[in-house]
Amino acid sequence: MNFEWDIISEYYPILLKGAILALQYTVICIILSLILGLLVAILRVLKISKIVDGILNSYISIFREIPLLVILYFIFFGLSQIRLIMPASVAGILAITLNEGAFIAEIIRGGFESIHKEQWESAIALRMTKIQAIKYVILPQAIKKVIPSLVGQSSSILKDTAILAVIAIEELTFSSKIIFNATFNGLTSFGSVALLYVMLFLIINVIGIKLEKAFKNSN
Amino acid sequence: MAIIPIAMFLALFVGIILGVIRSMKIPVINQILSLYIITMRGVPTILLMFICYFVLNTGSDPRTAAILALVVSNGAYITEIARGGIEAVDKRQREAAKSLGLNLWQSIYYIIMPQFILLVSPAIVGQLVLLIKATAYASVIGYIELIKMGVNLMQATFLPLPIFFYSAVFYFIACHSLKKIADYIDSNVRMKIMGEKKDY
Amino acid sequence: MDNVMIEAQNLKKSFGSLIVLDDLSFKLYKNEKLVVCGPSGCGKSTLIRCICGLETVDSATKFNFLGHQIKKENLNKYKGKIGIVFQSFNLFPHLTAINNVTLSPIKVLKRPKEEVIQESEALFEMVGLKKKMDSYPHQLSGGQQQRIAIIRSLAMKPELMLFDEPTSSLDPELIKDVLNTLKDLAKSGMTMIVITHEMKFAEEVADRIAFFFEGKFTEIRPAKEFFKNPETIECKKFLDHVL
Repeated sequence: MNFEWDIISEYYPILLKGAILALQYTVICIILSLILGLLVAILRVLKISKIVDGILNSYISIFREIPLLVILYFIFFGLSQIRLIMPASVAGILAITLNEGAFIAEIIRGGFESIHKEQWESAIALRMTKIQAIKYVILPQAIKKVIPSLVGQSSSILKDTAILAVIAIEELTFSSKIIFNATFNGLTSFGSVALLYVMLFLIINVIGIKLEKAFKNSN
Repeated sequence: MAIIPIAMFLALFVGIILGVIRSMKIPVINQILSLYIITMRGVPTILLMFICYFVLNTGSDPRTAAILALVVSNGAYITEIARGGIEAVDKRQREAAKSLGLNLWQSIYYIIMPQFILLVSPAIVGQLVLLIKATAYASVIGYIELIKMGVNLMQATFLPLPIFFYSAVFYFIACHSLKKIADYIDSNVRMKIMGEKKDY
Repeated sequence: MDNVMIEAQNLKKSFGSLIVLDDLSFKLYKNEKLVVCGPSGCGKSTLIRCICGLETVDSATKFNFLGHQIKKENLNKYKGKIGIVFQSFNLFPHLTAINNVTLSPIKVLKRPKEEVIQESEALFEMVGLKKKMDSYPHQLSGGQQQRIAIIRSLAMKPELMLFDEPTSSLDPELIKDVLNTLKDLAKSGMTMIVITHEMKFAEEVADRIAFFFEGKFTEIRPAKEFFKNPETIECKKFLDHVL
């Protein structure tokens, strides 16, 4: 079996479309899960009530320990049983966001806990409300510390978009199957897609490193 | 579901051996291993399942392909964990052991390995939890594990909700118990022995 | 020469272009306490690491311990006969204090367990740490860890004890206890080489004091003379600095 460049030149539109779609989903999911994760982390740190804390902790526990695929099937197929039908794309984004949101909430919580208690105390002594303290003092410091982990999580999100293939969204992994079914040349079809994923992964990493530097300098 | 312990064991085996090799920093081999690790960090598990299924040409039995994919991808992460653990054991420990007359094997067995195990166990357990979750992806190549059974059942009965609910519960219980056991071991055994050295 | 423990002639060692031991020669006698001092640098440590076999010299006309040449192949002959105590204690963190001390005598010298434990308990008694035998290193202060490191080496019944700045990483209050242990050890007749900046200690304990400068012992004289009449300028400067 050889790597056939002919196949690439013939099918590259599909590959391109798949890659772009994968990137689009990745970006959307990164933004949404960051928002969700941030929200959950802040709510937890505000310690509003034991009930709220309990709900949030359960959310994090559950969605970190159930495989993404199960979450996806549950949302896409399971909810349809109770008449909650949604387009595949929405189900996919929802599943990934809920899953990754839990991880990001934990990462940000780690960031919060690594900030010295004295920072809180100084802010309160200056008569800031809890929310102001978080906004101006704690959050900026915490984010700076967890940028590397967040970048790592973003590359996870890129890999997560691959599961959208099982609900027939034509992103990159789906494209690989299309090409394989057409050509039966595994090396080319899967190999080229694997390569594309690694390239996208490296791009995300490079952006991440630049972000890290930018944050370091903005001190 | 038997692939879980098999894949775990093989991934640990491969990962630790490669981790040791990587810590020795042999020129060409190290580069190749770095490439392997980066690839595993970038390629989605589902795609890897497809690739392994195709590579093994089994056609009928996806079990081996699933195990291969799980071992290859998780092995890479375990390699890095193992390498970190080896490098975290203070080099001077070997010197102290040597000065007391312990030979190489005695140093490894009594001094270096115990510390290594205590240092890496939290991270390794974390990785094994990820492996358990990843077994769900074996369903996409037709391996009859929980999810695939669920999908088949769903197509037969049109009752997806309870099916996937129960599979979710299963995974949750499996992973959560592993985590709780790990936390218990960590706080009672590791902290007592090594003190507060949590991260390395 | 029956009472010569170490005979070293023309020791040479470099790390790349950095010359660490520059034609160093000296003799160490049995029961002698030799204190080595000098400006900070890795030469002094390298010397005693060569003596106990953790490093090798590049070349030497003679380098013998009790008549046997010090080289890698011979290391097995003196398992534990040369004890070394490091600046950073290097206790095994995953073993209790007593296990740290008994591990080597049992596994290397293959001595019976009960005997070793009894002797080790006596050693713990000697340094006043009997209550800490079952503690883990991270539960102990620096001074306690260092004293346990010392008796860990002593458990192997060495003929020579080397000390590489044993108190340099300790808080001031803890230094005294460790130095007292060293003084007791000296009184009991142990042959010792101690690298240290604690010159008061040197004055009390040393038979001879050696000044290590740029790869050599530029001065090596009986303790009293060393302090009264330092010969070289560098040595004078150094003494002015530390005293």
